[in-house]
Amino acid sequence: MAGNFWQSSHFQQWLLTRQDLCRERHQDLQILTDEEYLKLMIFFANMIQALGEQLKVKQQVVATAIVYFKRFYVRNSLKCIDPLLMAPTCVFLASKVEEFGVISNNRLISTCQTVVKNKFSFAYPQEFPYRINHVLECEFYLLEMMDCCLVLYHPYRPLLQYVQDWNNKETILPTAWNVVNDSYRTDVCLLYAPHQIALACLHMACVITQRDYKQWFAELNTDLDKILEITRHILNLYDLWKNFDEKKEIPGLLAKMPKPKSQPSR
Amino acid sequence: MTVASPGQLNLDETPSWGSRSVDFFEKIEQIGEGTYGQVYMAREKATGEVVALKKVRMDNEKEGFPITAIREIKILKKLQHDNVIKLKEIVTSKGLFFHSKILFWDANKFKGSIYMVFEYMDHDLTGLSDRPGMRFSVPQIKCYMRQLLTGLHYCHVNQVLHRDIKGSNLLIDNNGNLKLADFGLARSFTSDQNGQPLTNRVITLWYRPPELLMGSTRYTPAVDMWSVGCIFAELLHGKPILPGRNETEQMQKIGDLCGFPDETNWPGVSKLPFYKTLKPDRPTKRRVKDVFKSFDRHALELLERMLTLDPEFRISAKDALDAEYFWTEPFPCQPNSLPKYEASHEFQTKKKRQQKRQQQEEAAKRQKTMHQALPHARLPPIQQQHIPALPLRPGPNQPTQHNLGQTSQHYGNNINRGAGGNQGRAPGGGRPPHGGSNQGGGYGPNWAVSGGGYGGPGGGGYTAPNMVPQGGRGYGAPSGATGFSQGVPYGGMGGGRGPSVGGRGQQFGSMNAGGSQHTGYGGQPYMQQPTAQYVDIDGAYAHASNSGFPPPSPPHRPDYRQQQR
Repeated sequence: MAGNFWQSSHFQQWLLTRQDLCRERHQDLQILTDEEYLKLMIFFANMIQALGEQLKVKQQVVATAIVYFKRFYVRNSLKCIDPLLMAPTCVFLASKVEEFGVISNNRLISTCQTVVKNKFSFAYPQEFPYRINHVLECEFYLLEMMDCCLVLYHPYRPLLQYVQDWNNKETILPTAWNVVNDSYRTDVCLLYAPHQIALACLHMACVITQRDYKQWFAELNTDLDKILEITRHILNLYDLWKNFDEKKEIPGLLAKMPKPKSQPSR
Repeated sequence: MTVASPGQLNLDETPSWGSRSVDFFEKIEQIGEGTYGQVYMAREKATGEVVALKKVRMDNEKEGFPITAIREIKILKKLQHDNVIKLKEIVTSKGLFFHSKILFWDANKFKGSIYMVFEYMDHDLTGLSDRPGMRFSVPQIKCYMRQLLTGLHYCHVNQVLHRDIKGSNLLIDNNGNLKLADFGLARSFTSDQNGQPLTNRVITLWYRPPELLMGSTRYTPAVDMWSVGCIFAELLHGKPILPGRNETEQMQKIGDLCGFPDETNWPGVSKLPFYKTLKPDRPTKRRVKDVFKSFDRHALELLERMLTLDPEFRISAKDALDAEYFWTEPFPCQPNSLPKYEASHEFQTKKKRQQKRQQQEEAAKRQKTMHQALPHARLPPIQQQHIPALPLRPGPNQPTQHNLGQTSQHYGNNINRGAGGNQGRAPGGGRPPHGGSNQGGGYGPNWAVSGGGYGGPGGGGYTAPNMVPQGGRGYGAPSGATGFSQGVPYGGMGGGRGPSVGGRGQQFGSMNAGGSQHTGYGGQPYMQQPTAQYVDIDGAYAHASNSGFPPPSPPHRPDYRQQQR
């Protein structure tokens, strides 16, 4: 939905500082290291991505769902609600918000079962344990926690606007687009405005494809320090990814992760 | 926000984020109920501010949080305008989760509710016009219409279709401000033609445009403008102009009034899905001008352009604001110069009605023979020209008067409205011309001459508006709500009304419609003497009739609030 980012709840309520992140997560970070926490977040973002692909939703729905997921756990410990339940809940809500339609109950749950079984059995050897009533209850808490701030602004649109009059955008845009996708595995979507993220990703794409757009960036009226911070976040992610063997590490991390006290009655 | 070091954090504290609890408000009373859930008048405990709490109904188990509520919240958070209802915040009946930090897995224990908190508005347009004896002045109608169009233009500029414009969704406060409300059917649209199809099952039937009735799923803001046209005509005419009982009849009524569309006046219409099904055997002619010949020239001109069959040529909100109608005398008045009315809510009066219905039925039986054709439902606007500079309020139709003196209202008129009105749409029949409405030709140039009777509250006769009438108008872009400053403080409601016309049929047909948040009020004592009869201003006898059936609602949106696009 078009609209004014600067008047949005995204800008006014949901751009956080690094201090916010540290403070809110400190409970979990007493148990998990920063790196372990980040790896878990990457794992669940991958799960949301896989759910989204299986449900054939737009990338925008996936992106929104990931941000919802991050918003929830920035304000709540992982032990409040099992992220395995929160992930499909975020997809369910994001699909409605992004006007992709209501995902039917059966389809959602069966997709969860399929995806968990086919792609994440290394982490969850048992069947997906939740039913639709769990998702609906979880949705309520998600809405409440976000104060119904539903509209998100993503870097994709500003990215397209920036490269609009570049003459070799065909080569740069796909790279930049992928970098934006990767950025959802970091915290930048909680910390920076979407146009800043778009610029950082565009800059990285220029470096990757070895184009010289220094002059273009120099003429921008924007805070280049922020762009560099975002770049660092994403480069850190790439470093982490190099040595991250998901299949090997995630079962241990899930065992270590704080968990809800109660389990669902079925 | 200050940052505490980890050791100092008090994690048991109520978090400073997330929705507030509904416990911050105390409910005063329920003021509405409909398909969307319940609406309460409530007071914020800390500030004493009165608000309206709209509960989001969560009982559709499959959908979870309803997509209509999601749209309404998304849209209302985006729209900020004087003529659009303000969503102040979202509150929840929380406590479960944040105190326990665990989920309740038992479905029976889970009773979370989400409420939208709105600014409180005293009336809605339907309620206000159904008020016994209520007659709007021409400047008042212009004032409401201009606010409606300004708000709608703002929505359309922001790519939002309202899709349920009707009187009960136009809320009015006691400062005369009109605001669009109930965005439960609204949605944002993209201008490109490749967007996904939209549902055609929107807009309350009486206000639904022909393209939706024909089954179009790619439509434009013009759908809202048709509804505006219906409301405009209703304000001037005194009752709903197209009260169809079902889709077929609705299209038939539109055809009777506007002519049935064909390829000459609406290229492409025959390709719409239901065109052939709805097409009448013989063609009908457009006769808007005949039916509404009592309207003044500029009003009729504007109405014609709003009720244009082909949505592509229907006037836009922006152009409507530029219409001569708003820029000729009498000018729209300032909202705050309008009279204030006592608020009450349809929901409560309905209850009282139900209690009394029993005895009414008895009375009605005794009066059975008297049930003749009833006069028109509402009063058309005052069209008298010489209106002295009355004190703004109390006017002759102040609530106290109604409450004290006018106990003889019948409500038989609901026959008119709900059931489709036997005499409803006939041009001449059924509704005798009334008041000044037989001035026919309108009041174009005459107004200037006779306008000496105008006086602002400050006296000094007619105050020139802040613009040059005709020709080079000095107003800016019509998009700006503030762009219209008009210096015509209008002397409130004119005379000529009083108890004699006050005892008009209390109407509440459409007030039962689900979409109304809080409808205006119906003077409570209006049926204490069910058998009383009185001389109508038209000279006809009206009777305190009660035919016993509940006030009909217009065919409203039934279940299609779910899953539409």
